[in-house]
Amino acid sequence: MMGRRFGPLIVLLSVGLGIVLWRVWTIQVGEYTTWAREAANLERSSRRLPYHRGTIRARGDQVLVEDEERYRVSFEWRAFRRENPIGQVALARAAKTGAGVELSRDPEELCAQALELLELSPRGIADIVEGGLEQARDLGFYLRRILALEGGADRRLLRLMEEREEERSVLSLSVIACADARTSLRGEEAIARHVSERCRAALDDLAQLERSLRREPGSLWSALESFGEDVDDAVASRMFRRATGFSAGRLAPEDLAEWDLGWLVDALHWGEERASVWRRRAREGWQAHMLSRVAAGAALEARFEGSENSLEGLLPLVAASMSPLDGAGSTVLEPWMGAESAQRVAALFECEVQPLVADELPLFIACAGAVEGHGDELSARLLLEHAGPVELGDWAGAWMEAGRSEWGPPASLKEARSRWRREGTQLAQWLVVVWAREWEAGWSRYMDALTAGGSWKLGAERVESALDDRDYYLVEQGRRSRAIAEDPSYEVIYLLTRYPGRFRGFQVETRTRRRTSERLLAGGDPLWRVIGSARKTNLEEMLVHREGFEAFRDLRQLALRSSTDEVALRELAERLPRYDELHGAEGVERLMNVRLSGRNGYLEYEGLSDIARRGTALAVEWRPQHGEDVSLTIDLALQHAASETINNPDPTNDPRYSDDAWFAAPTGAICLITPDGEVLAAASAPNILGRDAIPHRDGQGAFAHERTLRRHTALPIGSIFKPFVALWCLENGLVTGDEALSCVHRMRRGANVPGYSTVDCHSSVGHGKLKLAGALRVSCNAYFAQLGDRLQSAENLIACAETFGFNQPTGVNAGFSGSAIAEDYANPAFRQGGQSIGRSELQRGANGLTVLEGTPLQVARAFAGLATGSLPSLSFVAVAGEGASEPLKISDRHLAAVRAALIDVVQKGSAKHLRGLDVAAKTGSADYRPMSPLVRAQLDYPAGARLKMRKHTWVAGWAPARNPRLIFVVYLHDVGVTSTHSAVFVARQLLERPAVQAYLAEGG
Amino acid sequence: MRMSHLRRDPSAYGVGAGRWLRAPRWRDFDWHVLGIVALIFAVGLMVIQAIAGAEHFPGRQEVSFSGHLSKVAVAVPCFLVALFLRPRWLRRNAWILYGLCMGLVVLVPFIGVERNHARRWIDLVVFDLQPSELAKLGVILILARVLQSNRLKRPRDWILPCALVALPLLFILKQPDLGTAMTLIPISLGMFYVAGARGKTIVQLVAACGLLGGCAYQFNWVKGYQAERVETWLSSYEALELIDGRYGSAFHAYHARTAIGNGGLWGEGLGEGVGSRVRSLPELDSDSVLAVILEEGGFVYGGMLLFAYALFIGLIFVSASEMRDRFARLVVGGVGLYFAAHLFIHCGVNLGLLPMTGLPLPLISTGGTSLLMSLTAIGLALGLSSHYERTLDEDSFRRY
Repeated sequence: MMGRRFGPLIVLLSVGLGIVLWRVWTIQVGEYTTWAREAANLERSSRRLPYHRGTIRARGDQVLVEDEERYRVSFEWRAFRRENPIGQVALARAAKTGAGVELSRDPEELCAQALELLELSPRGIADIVEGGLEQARDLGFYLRRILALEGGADRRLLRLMEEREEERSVLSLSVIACADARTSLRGEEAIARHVSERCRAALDDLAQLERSLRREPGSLWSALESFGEDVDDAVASRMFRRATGFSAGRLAPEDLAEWDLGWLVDALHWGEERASVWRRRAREGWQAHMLSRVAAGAALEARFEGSENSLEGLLPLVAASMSPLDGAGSTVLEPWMGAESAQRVAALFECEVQPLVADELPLFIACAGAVEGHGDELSARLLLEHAGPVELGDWAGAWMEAGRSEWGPPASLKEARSRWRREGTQLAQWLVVVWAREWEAGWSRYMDALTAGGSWKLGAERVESALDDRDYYLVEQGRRSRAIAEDPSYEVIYLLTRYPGRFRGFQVETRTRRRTSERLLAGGDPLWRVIGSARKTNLEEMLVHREGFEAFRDLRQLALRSSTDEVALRELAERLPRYDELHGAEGVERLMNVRLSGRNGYLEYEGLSDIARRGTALAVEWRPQHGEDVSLTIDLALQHAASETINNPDPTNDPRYSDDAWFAAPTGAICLITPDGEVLAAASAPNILGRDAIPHRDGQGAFAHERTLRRHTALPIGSIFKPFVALWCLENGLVTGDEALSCVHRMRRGANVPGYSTVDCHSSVGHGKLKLAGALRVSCNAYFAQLGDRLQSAENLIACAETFGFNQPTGVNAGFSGSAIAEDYANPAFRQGGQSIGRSELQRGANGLTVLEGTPLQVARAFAGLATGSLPSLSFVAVAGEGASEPLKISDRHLAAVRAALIDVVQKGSAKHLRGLDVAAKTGSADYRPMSPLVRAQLDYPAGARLKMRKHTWVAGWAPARNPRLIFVVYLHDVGVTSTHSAVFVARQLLERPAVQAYLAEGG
Repeated sequence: MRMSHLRRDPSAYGVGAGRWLRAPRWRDFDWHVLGIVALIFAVGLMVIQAIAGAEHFPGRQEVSFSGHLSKVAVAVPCFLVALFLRPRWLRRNAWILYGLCMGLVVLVPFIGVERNHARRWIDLVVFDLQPSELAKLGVILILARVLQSNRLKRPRDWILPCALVALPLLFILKQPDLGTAMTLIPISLGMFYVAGARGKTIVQLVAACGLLGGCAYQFNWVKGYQAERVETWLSSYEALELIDGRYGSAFHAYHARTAIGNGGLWGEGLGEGVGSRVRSLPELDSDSVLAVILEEGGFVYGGMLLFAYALFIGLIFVSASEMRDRFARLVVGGVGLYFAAHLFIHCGVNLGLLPMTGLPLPLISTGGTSLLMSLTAIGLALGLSSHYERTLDEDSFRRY
């Protein structure tokens, strides 16, 4: 049947078909996963959608902190050079002459340059290329871009320009192309005019943009040229790395200058001067990168991987990061200049391997070998060998830049280990420098040994490989956008978004910023410390999620995903931190971080819409879940009232005792809380950083500290502790309300003054016999010193204090492990069970002196307990339902007696300046520091008055007196007079504020 | 199976239909071959239309379906003319036709346009004529003419046929167009074999060609980029190696392999492949069209098309084997070899079995000259196989 010799041909045909089908099967079925994944990645684009962090609001819904969208102008070099006439002409000139890219600023010059370029003919371009200027191949592309003809004419021009022997100018050919395509442009003159108009318009647009950005004339051009140079630098560095396997910055610029890098210089249209600039920048960039990122990362990772107390993991990590050749990176230290490496280096430079190299190996090779288990020893050894006078070489600049000029390496292994915990980053940085310098020296010796002093150059294959990738690097680097301006004006945004075609290369991007409302709460208000701040994800957090990121990347690249994969991808997309994600760093931001944080979304385009910016071919769309809002308990009206009162109190005009100096530059705090523990106001003074402090006092007035939760100095609370001592003693049967104790004169330190034991009373004549209510009313120190005696032990004093919340957290961080809102709640004297508290300290402590310290919010909490019978847990954040509170183990009878006494304090006692207001209160004046004559001179007081001590003065109470809705605490820091002559005045000013009155009138 | 020409009455078909054109004998026409050709051609049109209509990244390769149709409009009349050509006229004018083809090939360096650093085309406004494609048909015709009475028994019998092949080969290599030049070799060797050359000699020639190619590569007789293609091919057969070199010289091979591999068993659907949509695959409508077909049709439909293509070639061989007219048999066999060479080189290149070179897939790719020549060749094959010639060659009754 198959005669005439066609049978074998048909057999061959069948065999051929079989081979082809087998190969198709192998690729399409056997390797399907691989290729489907590659294909998916070719057109798949995805991005994570950031969530909005929740808003923090004050009571009444005023926004204090929120995420807001901000604009940024960014610049993409590739789009600019391809699509903007200024970039096109500059790049075409660079391609033609081989010189650097210089953007023209003069319209006439730009037009002339463009038209001059268009006078080139295809033959002329070919001649330039044949003359050795390879980059001139790009000229044709740029010339067509400069002409910017319509589609048909452009295609026709391309065909005409493909004729290499064509000697007519590109301008002449464009006339033909326009005629063939029947466009409206006819004749050279019209086309030249069209080109000139484009150039002028582009310059006008750029100048307008520069003005709108409020930049110095010409500075935008310089910035763009600089961006272009950065792109070229990055491309050169990547090509070098591709060819050699290591970064150009590894070698000192002068050493690198000896390399034959003509191929690189030619590929990037550079001259020697430009190459020199690149060598320097590559070196500086690499050094900064190694010190700021690699070393810091190695130190962190070593801590994760190894022990806190050992350097063990550090050396292998530094070694891996310093891996000299591609593929040599390993977490296990190995002598990279071993036989295998020698072969690789020899291949790199196309030279023979010499056997001498073993003697030339640098120091760290001697350390290599059994590294496992000896990393810390070897790390220390390397460090120690370089201890003492430091030879940093050209690392000095980077070392100084990293702020390590004062740092010295350890002098012993023991010291190295002891410093590891605190100075891990510094040790890693030093190790990097040591290693890098060893590498440079070793490299030089090694190359000499390897080539036996002969010449060498990079292997042609490696160079070819780098040249092959040049275009890819140019595209990839050129597409990376750089920020030109943050928060541009509306005019700029309008220009760039309304006329994108006129500003090719520029675009407006949005980004999210955490904005605080300084309109509602002054920027310096220490309450911001409580509200706190957020920070971006740090390196440590990224390292923790390393494996998650790897899994996420793999799942993203999977061509086909199972439902399990989808779930895992979503979970990772939502959970993994973003580099720009904000996390609560302190305060409420940190306390409520979980609630404020949302879950990231994820978008995936299977098609082209993301890149092509058209269509909506969404494959996956998981919208972000934004963070929840958080409402604070802070009432801004009360906060302002409190802040205004403590920062700008009216002078007392007290004819007897006054400290006008303090009132002129107040330091202190006011806090207002509800009986169930919601903090309504927490104001501190001063609220201006750097204000002049009152001379001769403790200088605290210069610092805008948060003072309602923090103790920045010793902070005894004075007599406002007395009601609690009274309650505790009553409840424990140490005293009864009817028992009278004496406040009489006794001899002490040669003087006959009223008091008891070591405690003097403030009365100059003594209070005589006093019952509990009277003692509270007049705040008799002698009475409470005697109660201090009855406490008998420090344990009882501590128990008394802790019953009312002193020496304990206030609850502002409740539910959070750690201390998000900084709070100094522990009483220093109560450490170790109050071992240092003796009898005299008990007497003082019962008076709230010396050993009894507290913060204003602790005091407020205690008074809330006193007013209601339950000790609340304080909170800055509004929670649904009633706040947590703990009933005091004090009988109502005793509570009622003390409350009545505090009403009497206002009506007849030490706080009678508050008379007329429906409040119950207690005053307190706690000795702080001795009164110096200089301070005394600042005071007004009657002649002969005894002013021995400066004080912290307090007033704490509640209003209304019999139906408490507002707990208030006023604390004045370092005052020269007692509370009756200072804090009580401030308290009255506070309580008379309209906001406070309104709050009380509203019934809370 | 078609009946032998000899059993029919020659007078039934008349002789006055013109000196060079005559209607084929429709009753003996190879309709089944035409059917398969039409099927392949229709698939080709669908694929090109799908590529042209696919939503794709802007600024990348544009494929014009209307442009392709205009080339079809030029090629179909050529198909009809070739179908109606008298074998005798063809035989008598083979030298002239070869001369015309050679003339155009020789003229290319002078009047051709250069693209991508190669000068292969003559601008005909509607499409660019590629004389090297014409030369293939010219070589088939002239070899059929000289081998009509030459069974290549003696060494000197080889001189003229080899010279006739070498002449265009050298000019085409000079253009340079290695792919086209390489197709001439299997076509010529196949025709030598059909003409009577011993199989052993052909094997030796194949070995010599292989050796020559090896030497050319080893001793740098080929151009740098050609050597690079061979190196890339050698180093990127495996998937991971190819992926590693995707940004460099293996760019084309990588995208072709990615597209093919992405097709899987059932394909992505017409116009839905990454080849059509992303358009990173170079020459996706001509030199890489198989990759697009295999991606969008998958192994099942792509395999069916390849099978249909091979069947079409096989049927041409069968048709040729049954012809008594030695000239016509050689021409039809040459046409089969022409398609076979293109098919296997095109497949080999896209599948990574051969080094990268640009060669369209006849009947499917958009290349104007390729389309013109492939339809003309099919017209010749179908026409010659259905014409009855009163005068028989001397060896019409011999079996080889």
